[in-house]
Amino acid sequence: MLTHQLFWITSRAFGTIAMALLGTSVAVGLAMAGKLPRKRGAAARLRRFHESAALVTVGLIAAHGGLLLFDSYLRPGVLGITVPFTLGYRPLATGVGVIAGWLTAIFAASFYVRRRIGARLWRRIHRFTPVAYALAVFHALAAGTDAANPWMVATLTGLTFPVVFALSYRLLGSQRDGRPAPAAGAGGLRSAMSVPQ
Amino acid sequence: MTPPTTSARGSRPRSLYRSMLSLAVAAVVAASIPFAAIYAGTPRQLPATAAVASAGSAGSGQSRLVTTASGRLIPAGVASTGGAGGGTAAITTRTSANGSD
Repeated sequence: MLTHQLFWITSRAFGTIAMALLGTSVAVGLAMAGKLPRKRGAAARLRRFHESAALVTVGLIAAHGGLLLFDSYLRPGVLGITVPFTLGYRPLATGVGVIAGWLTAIFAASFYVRRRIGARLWRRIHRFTPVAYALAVFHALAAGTDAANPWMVATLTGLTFPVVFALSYRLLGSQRDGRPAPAAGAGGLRSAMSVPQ
Repeated sequence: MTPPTTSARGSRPRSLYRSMLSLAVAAVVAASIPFAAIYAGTPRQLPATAAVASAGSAGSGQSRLVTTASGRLIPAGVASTGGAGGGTAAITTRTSANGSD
């Protein structure tokens, strides 16, 4: 019974951990953008965590989808786990999950092309990170067989609260300030992420 | 301890308002998650291509979840009503989408 469902169970576990890490990473990123960490040096530490957490999340998502390839029950095929809406099982929910996975991979990879594409474009791309999180929550609720379990509901609720709080805090701050975005370049990026003194 | 400058005056109430409004928004959105989970847990239409077999029928394949009459998905081993070919209509077994199982 267990060996038969091993890949499916492991995939679910990876998906749940990926969800938790994605939520944490997004919340930390939004908190930095909203200049919530006031302590000196906290922003730099959080940025390191944010970056590494995003990368690990991509690995977990890859494992989440990749393990399903070996699930003899679902048999998604490479196409099913990489191309949205091609999987027969709950196509909308799984398709949204695939999109969320790709978006997370793009956002994580954008750390390494930041200099090439410029800070302004990087920030524009990065603003859509909460969308990836929202899509992942939808995927977890609509496709996940654990969606009705209290622990999953509690996990998603607990993850969503700080994400939405940090997002609202950042949006309200940018509305209040009415300041134009910092100039492009590394200096602009640093000023966007800097901790107010 | 220096007195607050003119530019800093009024920043604390604004910051408090910002925090409170953000918390309120976060609370409302987070509170909607359990409701979304309940909605997601409502009975779904099984894929048309999926073979629907009665519980306990021989060779129904790798059944993992069964849909009860109320529409809830439960592990297949839990609901053992119906013997071989018993055909308990209340419980159906999901098989793979290609129906080969």
